[in-house]
Amino acid sequence: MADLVLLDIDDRGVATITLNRPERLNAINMAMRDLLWEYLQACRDHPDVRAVCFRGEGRSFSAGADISEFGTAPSLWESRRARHERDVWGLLLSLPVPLVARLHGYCFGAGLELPLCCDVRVAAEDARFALPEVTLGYIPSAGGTQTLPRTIPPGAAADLILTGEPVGTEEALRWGLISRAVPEAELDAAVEEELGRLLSGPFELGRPTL
Amino acid sequence: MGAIGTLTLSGGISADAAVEALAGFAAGDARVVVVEAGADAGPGAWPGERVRWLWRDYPLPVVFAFEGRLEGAGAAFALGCDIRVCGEAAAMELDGESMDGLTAERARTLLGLEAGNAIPTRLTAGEALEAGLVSRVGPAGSAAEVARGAAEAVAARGPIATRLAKEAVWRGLDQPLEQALRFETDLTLLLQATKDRAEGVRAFLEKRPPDFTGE
Repeated sequence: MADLVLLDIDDRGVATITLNRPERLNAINMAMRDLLWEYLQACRDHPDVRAVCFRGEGRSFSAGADISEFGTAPSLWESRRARHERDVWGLLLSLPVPLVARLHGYCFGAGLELPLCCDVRVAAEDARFALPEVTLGYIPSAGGTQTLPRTIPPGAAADLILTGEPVGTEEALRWGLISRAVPEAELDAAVEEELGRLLSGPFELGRPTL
Repeated sequence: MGAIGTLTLSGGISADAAVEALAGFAAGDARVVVVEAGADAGPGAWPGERVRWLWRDYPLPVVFAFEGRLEGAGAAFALGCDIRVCGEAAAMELDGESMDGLTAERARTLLGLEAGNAIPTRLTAGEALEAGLVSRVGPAGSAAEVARGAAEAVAARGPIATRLAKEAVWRGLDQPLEQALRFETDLTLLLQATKDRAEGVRAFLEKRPPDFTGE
């Protein structure tokens, strides 16, 4: 089986992290969380890494967490401890280099919460964004209830989080959920442009500050 | 169906009567409330304590719908709600000068303004949408229907989840992010102990609509 998450560091110091489970729309399972944890630590500790870019293989960036694994945690106490000890999203928010998300297709649940920890989000025009957790009787738990209202106007964030309904790139651009939307054929070029800009000069981190 | 409580702010309704109606919804079967600004006078006053009560202490998500010109107590009421929608001919008047501190603070939060920045006095529907002060705009006259659409979505979700989501969003926003993220984790774990969350996951995997009971 191919690796579920890939890490590649090019000679400019751009680390590309690819969600690589296209047959499941890159639903993020525990094994992928572990790989993200490992790769993000590597990005933090590797002196050559100057930027990180997230992308998804296949038709979508990510449809969210892998729901088939829900309810398999040993106990609430264990879940809490594991989340605090391996805080993937907290680690992401604390990385000292710019983080760019290349978004297309479904960016739902954790598939939106991961980009919300980034500084720049560039999307294909077909991208759809949602925090649909309440449809399953729970709430966003990869930081979304906190990062979304700190990224877009909080009333708009409340609408998305309470209704669980998706929005497209028009609303996403209006409220600053993404900075650019381009035809999918131009997405790689647009991401390259953003990376080039971030690598060539001073930048301000766009993510919510810890 | 009792899942959506509806309150109309008109006919000389007093602020106390509005609070009483909202408390009744929360004590009953309602999972979400739609508040419609009436064509005539609403409550004469809606002070900052009540604005804060709506977003911070009232447990159910509230969707506010308006047409025409919304001002004064009606606008203050709207600021306290979770979701605002309007018709495209609507406008919101916010008199920052005469606003009390808590109401002005809420307006700044929703508009993303730093303390001390002037609150815009008038926003058309389009401007309010741009600013995210309202999140949905429909054709003139459709605000109540648009609000109902949003409320039906909320009512179909897990009722404990939507209450905790409201709490996570508004109470979390006042906390430093690191603390707020731990707050979210704890609310998440609280939900893991509910029947609704197990039902939500089961229904998803069985490809059927969930039957949430609020347990």
